[in-house]
Amino acid sequence: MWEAIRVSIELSIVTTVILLVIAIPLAYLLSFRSFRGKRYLEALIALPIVLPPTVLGYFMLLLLAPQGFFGSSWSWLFDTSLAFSFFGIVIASVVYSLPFAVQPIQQGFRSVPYEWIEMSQTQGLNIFGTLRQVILPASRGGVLTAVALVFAHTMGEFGVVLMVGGSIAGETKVASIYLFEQVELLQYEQANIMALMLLCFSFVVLSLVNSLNNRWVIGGRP
Amino acid sequence: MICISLQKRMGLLNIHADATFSHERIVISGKNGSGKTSLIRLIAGLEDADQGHLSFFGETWFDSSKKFKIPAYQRKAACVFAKPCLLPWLSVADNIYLGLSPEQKVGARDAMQEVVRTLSLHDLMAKESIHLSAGEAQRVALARAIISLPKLLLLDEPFSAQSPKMRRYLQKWLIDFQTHLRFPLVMVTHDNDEALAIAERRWHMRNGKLICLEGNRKTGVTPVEWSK
Repeated sequence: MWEAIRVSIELSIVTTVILLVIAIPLAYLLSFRSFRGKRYLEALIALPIVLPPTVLGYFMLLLLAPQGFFGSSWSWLFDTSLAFSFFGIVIASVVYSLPFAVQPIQQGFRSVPYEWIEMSQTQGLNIFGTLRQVILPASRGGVLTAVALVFAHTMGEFGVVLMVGGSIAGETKVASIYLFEQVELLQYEQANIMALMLLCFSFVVLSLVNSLNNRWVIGGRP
Repeated sequence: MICISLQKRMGLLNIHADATFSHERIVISGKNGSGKTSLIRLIAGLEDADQGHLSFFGETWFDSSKKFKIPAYQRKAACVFAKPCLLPWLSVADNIYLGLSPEQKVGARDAMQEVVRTLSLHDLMAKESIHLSAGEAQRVALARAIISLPKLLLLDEPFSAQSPKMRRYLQKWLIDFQTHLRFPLVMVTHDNDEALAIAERRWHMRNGKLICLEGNRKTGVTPVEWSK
């Protein structure tokens, strides 16, 4: 059980860090720039919300399998398979949780008064300076929500991980797959403990996000 | 010389500005909606003109024919708008230092003390900016623009929230400060007394068209004539 929880926590941390790096520039692009195909890019990013996890997992498996485009390149470069490996489920998790990272950050960025951004430009701050000193601090509630959502979402991931990673103990068997297996084996005591732990975890994360978001309301008090 | 030759269509308004100026204090007047703020934004680089050219002492800032533009953050044209735009999670001191590198902050320490003293901000430095009055916030925005040592200072109703006494004091301070450092200054105001006090040259905006009033600042052009 603890091994499955360790894999879930490791997967959640790695996915969250990777998604922050990807989602901040993407959210900036979608919030402050106009370009051709912007609506299609937004739809593409939001796709994992509506797509059944098994469908997304299936596509990911096709892509990451040794015969797939990405998987074959990876095998050629590193002489190892992406499918049914920890790296494979990291990639699948990143794709699956992308909208949960981009959308809250994008909402946060859009709520920043544009005159603050203009002011920072006239104070000599370039795009990166403005992002670091004005936009990110002003939308930290959105960033925090994204971090919490991605982390919690990845902790409870099932369908995509099962399709791409299978259930290899210590490598790809995450908490929710462990729970599923315990139910199949009629080990309800273990299943109850795991289900309760995941429930408590989700509740604590959401409460923390709400309380910090209230405290960080721009110009407001807790 | 700063050479402005800019045209921009903004809704029903056609901004049309042709003017040159140097290290002097320009005051722009005109009715609401006549395009004064838009002109300030065009000079600062916050808006792009449809057509025209803008150069700052030989350095091209904007040229529509070459599709060339120096972005706002490279122009070093600091703006102070009627709305101070202070960042609420920063203290007053951190707001004033916004945009400066750690080395620049050390270098600006003496200037900071002088600006803080003359703008009566000494008691406010550790305060959070959301606790300031409108007048105090405006003075902090002015200090922030000045401490960044701009090449050009653009002011749009910068004293609108000040008491009459503080307003007169700030007008005098601004004249002394600009006379001492001789940087180009463009200011928008609706207050004719303020315009007369500060301007070395006066411009007037009428329905988007910039009219440069040549000669002495006290040529007797009255707001009544301007409002025609």
